[in-house]
Amino acid sequence: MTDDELARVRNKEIGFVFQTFNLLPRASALANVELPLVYAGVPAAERKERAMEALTRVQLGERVHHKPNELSGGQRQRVAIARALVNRPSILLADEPTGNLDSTTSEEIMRVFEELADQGQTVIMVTHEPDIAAHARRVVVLKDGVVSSDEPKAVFQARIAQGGKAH
Amino acid sequence: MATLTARLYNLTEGVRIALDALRANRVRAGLTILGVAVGVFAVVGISAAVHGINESVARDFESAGPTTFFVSRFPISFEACDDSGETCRWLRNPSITMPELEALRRLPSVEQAGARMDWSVAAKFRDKTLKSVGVEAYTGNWGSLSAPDIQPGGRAFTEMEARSGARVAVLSTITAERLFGEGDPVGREVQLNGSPFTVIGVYKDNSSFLSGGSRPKAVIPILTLNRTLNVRLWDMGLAVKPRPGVSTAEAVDEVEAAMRGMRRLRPVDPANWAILTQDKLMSTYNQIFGTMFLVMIALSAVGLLVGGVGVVAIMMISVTERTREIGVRKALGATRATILFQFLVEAVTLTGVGAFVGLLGGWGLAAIVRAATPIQASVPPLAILAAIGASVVTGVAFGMVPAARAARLDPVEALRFE
Repeated sequence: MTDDELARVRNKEIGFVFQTFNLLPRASALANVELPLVYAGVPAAERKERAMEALTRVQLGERVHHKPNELSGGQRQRVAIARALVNRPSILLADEPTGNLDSTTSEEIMRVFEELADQGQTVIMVTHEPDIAAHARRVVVLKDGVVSSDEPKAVFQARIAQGGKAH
Repeated sequence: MATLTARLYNLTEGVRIALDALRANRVRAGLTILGVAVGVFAVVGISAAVHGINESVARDFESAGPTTFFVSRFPISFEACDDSGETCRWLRNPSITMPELEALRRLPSVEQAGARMDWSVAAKFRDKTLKSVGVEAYTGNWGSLSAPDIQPGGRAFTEMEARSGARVAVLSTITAERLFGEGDPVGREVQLNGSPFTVIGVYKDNSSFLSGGSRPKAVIPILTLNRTLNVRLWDMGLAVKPRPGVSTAEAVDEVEAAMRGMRRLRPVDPANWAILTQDKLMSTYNQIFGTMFLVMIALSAVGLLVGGVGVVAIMMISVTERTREIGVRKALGATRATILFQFLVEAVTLTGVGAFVGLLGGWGLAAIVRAATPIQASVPPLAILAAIGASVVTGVAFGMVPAARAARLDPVEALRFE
């Protein structure tokens, strides 16, 4: 694929959520969420509407005009999720989305992902933490770059509960 | 459609980010802006001055008529003269005389010829005195040769008055205003160097500042200057108007021949008078302003170069500092073209601020020149366009390297950048 085709795939088909949020520091939450729509060529009015909608989906409808440094870690990650969602991608890729968050906030963020999954959104998430992995419907364990197990949530949870190692 | 929306957004965002970057890197940004501002200032300031001078000189030419030429004792020369007698042979040129004028008038190619000599006097009306009034003394055909703009209620002097050396004067509006205020000077008596003159009219002086347009002036018959004010006519100059259908060159040839005959010059002798045609005047003038123009181009090129180097420096730093941001933007779907465009907008914003500062400076200079000198300096619209164009070109040309570097970044690498 050419560079521009790759850019289109990143724009339309994949939503990225990063460990370090990667929001644009000088832009408001709303402007951050609007960015993928800008690159998709969505007109301003529709852009705003859809960005608001995405922010509401992650329960952040009120703080939309705040800059990232005026938001808590959990709120920042919600903005990032809204940004990943706003172009209705086929896949949401999350790279250790709770790695920079405390456990309470991590739980909140995981609930957001669960809700999205319930609504039919495919979410692929990478994590080191078994209790975070336990939120997934299907858990693939990678060890040194090789798949060591691939099991449904229930089996994985049972194995963890018996004190077994995740991998 | 997609790209247009992204471009528009990039435009406003790019301008904002660039202004932020400008605040963050004060010294570098200051240098960049200064460079571009100097470049633009040179273009705008000098072209404003040239524009003003051009307009007034054009007025000079208009008032004389396009084919009229001038015969004078001394040429316009920038030669340095010493006492050796080798330099500036023209210093020994004889005065032009009234009989010579009379002879030239009778030439078949000449419609009219008139003499003029400039002098300076003190003018007095009641308790008001002007220490230095420029006197332009003419022969009787002043009115038809240079078509002065005489105000209603007044008149130029007649041939009769000129031939009899009558003590009559036509004041310029500036002189009239300074001596009489709101009152009507026509019919009043003024003292020029202590001799009484009757004011017969007031004229509006349309000559450029190069011809002393801002100075108070009075016009009197040339014979009166000689007889009443006791001024020897040592520097009399002639204005010669060829007949309709006769070219300036033909008339000049005939005048040259007649002068040689009267002054008994051998063919090998150089002419001991000077002829100035409007073409020659124009080319001298163009030479001077051509030089000014070159200086302007050189100055602005240096300024824009300094500005351009500053743009490269600032933009390189900006791209490095924002590598992660570029990665994020690419992850969200920005193409190479959008990133390139974004950074070019930033570069052009930097130079644009410089252009704005330079324009303000040039405009200020024009205003100062207008207030302090008689040059009606004004910034021509073309100079504004040129300034904006130059700053945009500088921004794009020098911003291209950093912007292309940003656009080529690999998104994965860029996101990993610490």
